[in-house]
Amino acid sequence: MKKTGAVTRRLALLAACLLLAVLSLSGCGQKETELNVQEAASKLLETVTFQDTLTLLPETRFTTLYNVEEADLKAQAVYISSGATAEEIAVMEAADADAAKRVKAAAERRIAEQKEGFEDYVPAELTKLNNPVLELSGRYVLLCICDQPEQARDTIKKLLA
Amino acid sequence: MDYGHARSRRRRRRRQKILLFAGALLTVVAVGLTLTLLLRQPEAPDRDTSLPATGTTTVESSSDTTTAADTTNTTAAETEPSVSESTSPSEPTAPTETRVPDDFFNDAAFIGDSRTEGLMLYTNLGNATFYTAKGLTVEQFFSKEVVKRGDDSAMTISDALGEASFRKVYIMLGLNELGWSYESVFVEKYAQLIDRVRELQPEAIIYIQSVLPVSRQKSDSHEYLTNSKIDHYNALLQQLAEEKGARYLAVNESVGLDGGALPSDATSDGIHLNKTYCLKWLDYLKTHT
Repeated sequence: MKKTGAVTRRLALLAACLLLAVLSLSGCGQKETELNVQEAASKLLETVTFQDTLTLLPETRFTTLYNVEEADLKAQAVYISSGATAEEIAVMEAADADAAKRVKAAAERRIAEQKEGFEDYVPAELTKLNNPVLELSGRYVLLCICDQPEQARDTIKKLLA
Repeated sequence: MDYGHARSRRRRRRRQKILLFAGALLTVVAVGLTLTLLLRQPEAPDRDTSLPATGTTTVESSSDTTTAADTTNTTAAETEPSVSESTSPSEPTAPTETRVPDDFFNDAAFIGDSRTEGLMLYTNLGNATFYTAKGLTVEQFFSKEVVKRGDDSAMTISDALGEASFRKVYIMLGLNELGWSYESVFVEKYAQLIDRVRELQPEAIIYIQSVLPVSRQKSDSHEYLTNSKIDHYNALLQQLAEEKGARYLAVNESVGLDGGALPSDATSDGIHLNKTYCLKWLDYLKTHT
């Protein structure tokens, strides 16, 4: 009888420890990086080498380039080229993780359209467009089209860390 | 004594049952939470660079700045027809005393190549309509499907213009035709373009914008993208405007601040204007209505 009681207590203690462990792990697993899209875009502009002069796209022109539903997007910062190159930076915060997938699809369409645009116009730009840096993390989508994709990847990795 | 002992046993058994039940419940909750977490793990950063080919925006590319052997000329007469020698070219539109606001362009359409695309992206003319494509020519106004419809199909600018109503139509074309073999073909096609715009937009004022200059460096080093050729084309456009009852806008004056050339601080490639100079261009449009 004493032995049964001790076993029962140990089982209860084990279960309590397990629950505590799971609760603490769940706290870690749900942690998501928070980004300020403007700061992130500026960081890419600062750390990546571009041939062209990139300029911040007015907010009113965002949907001209990225076909994103208003409800899917919380914030965005896009730097565009002068037209001479396909270089571009886009950092977008979606409404949630599901919306982020649609935002990423919009970024993919943007890249495809730019490929069409530059294919006959300035074919050399296809090198950049065929190696875009496109990252999706949680509700954030980051795009960088440049000659130095490794620089962009490195910066994005630090931003998302 | 026996009774007391039995009661103590019953209490002990009851405690054991409670502890056992609590332990089982905690275990179930822990397992459930673990499973939930596993199913809801956030996506790892996606480095997928294999992209589907889709496109839904309203502009598409067209051919690059053409060479002297451009095949779009092959449908024209092989011998160069003479350019019309009618009246003197129209005077450029004089400046107005007031500067119109952005919303003046709400009922305006802009037709042009990548430079006009820059005007669209760098300025805040949110309600104006832009029909632009990289490398656009007067020929491709009629033939190249660059305006996307909602269903992923596309149409020419010539067709798209018929689907809306405008009070002003601004046109800037010619840079990509500088390499054409016959300038008269350029003028002829431009004239047809104006006729088509007039047909579709009978109430609209048509503005023919001069071709913007290139930088001195570009002009000095390129075979046909030269400011002397641009000046010549602009003279042809001025004459065409007169013939067609359109207004000629000498927008080149707004940005050709380096003795008629595009200043080096205006452009990174000698051709495309940065934001500052697109705003100068816009300011010219706002003061020459």
